[in-house]
Amino acid sequence: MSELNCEQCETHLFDFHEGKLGRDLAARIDEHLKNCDACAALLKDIWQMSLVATRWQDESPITEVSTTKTGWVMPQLLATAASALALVLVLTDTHFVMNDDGFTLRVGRDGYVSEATLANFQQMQNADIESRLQRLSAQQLASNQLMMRTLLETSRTERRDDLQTLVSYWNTTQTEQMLATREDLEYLMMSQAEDDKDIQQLSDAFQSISMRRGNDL
Amino acid sequence: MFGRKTDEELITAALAGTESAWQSLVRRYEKRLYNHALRMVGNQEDAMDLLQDVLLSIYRNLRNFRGDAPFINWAFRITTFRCTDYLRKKKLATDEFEDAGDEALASNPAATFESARSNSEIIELLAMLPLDQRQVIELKFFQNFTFDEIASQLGISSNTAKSRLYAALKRMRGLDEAQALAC
Repeated sequence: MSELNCEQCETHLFDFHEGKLGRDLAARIDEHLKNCDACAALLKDIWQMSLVATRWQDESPITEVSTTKTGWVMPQLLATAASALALVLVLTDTHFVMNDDGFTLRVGRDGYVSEATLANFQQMQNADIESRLQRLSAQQLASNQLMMRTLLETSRTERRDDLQTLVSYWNTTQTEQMLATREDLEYLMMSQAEDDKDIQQLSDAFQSISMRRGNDL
Repeated sequence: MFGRKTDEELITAALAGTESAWQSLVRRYEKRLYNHALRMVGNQEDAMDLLQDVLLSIYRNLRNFRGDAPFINWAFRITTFRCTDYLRKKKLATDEFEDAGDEALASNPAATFESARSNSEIIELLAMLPLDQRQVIELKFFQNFTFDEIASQLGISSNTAKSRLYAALKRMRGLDEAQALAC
């Protein structure tokens, strides 16, 4: 299997990154990457740029088409518009006044439509949304941190318990071994004592026999 | 029965004068085209202008779509051309931009592979590249076209597309290293 050069490696590097190469060629690329810092750096660049691309959050354009109402969307938009209008009427203190000429629309204390009030309302709404998003983000962060601490604590506790169990077992095993060894020693000593007694008895017996033979002679 | 209409069906209906078919086609791809434009030109206002430009161009040339490649490939070909034209008109042509990129490299590049996390940071990172390199990065990493498709859209060879891509990556790595030294 001939070695690849950098130019050949570059030709296939993207397919290698995407896992599209056959086993043999992939192995040759892999072999080349082990020995070539330049190509290895290039592969790392491809990985890093791929990662950057995944971080992109698509934004929505506002075009004439995207805001064009279609049949089934109309009732929903009308409902939303009605809700928004009701909210505006309440906020601007709008009320209908019946009089001899018919009815008039009176808005606010001063009797004119206050653009500033609507602008304030929009600002307040934006600020409210912003603060809700921030609270949500902070809650998410706190929740994640709590989860991490709990996981770490749990695994620490589990490791501590495991270690204690292990030490206990080792101690028990050691104690048992020591007892067994002591018993063996005691047995050996007892056996030795008995052997000594037997030997002494035999020795006494021989002596006695020797003395009797001596007397007979 | 209620299956999604294909691009070809929508195009046929749009050419026959059905406005809703054209609107459906636009809705299907405008977000993708807009985000592409945003990464190429760097700000929302210009991206919207460019998108309108592109949609108008697509509409005017719809009769010329032959269907031998996916509609989106053809749409991107138009988008790439309009984008290049748009940026050159705004005096951000390749030669001038090359200088701008080098200046940024020499001073204090803000965005790197590591730090490019938000959309604005990614746009900053891409803005460090000359137009021709930025186009290849965009079409490869953000649009996932093959090198052959990129070559077809840009009117270059597949090998040239690869060379530009690797040059772009090395340039961005150079920015990474320059920032690391600056820190």
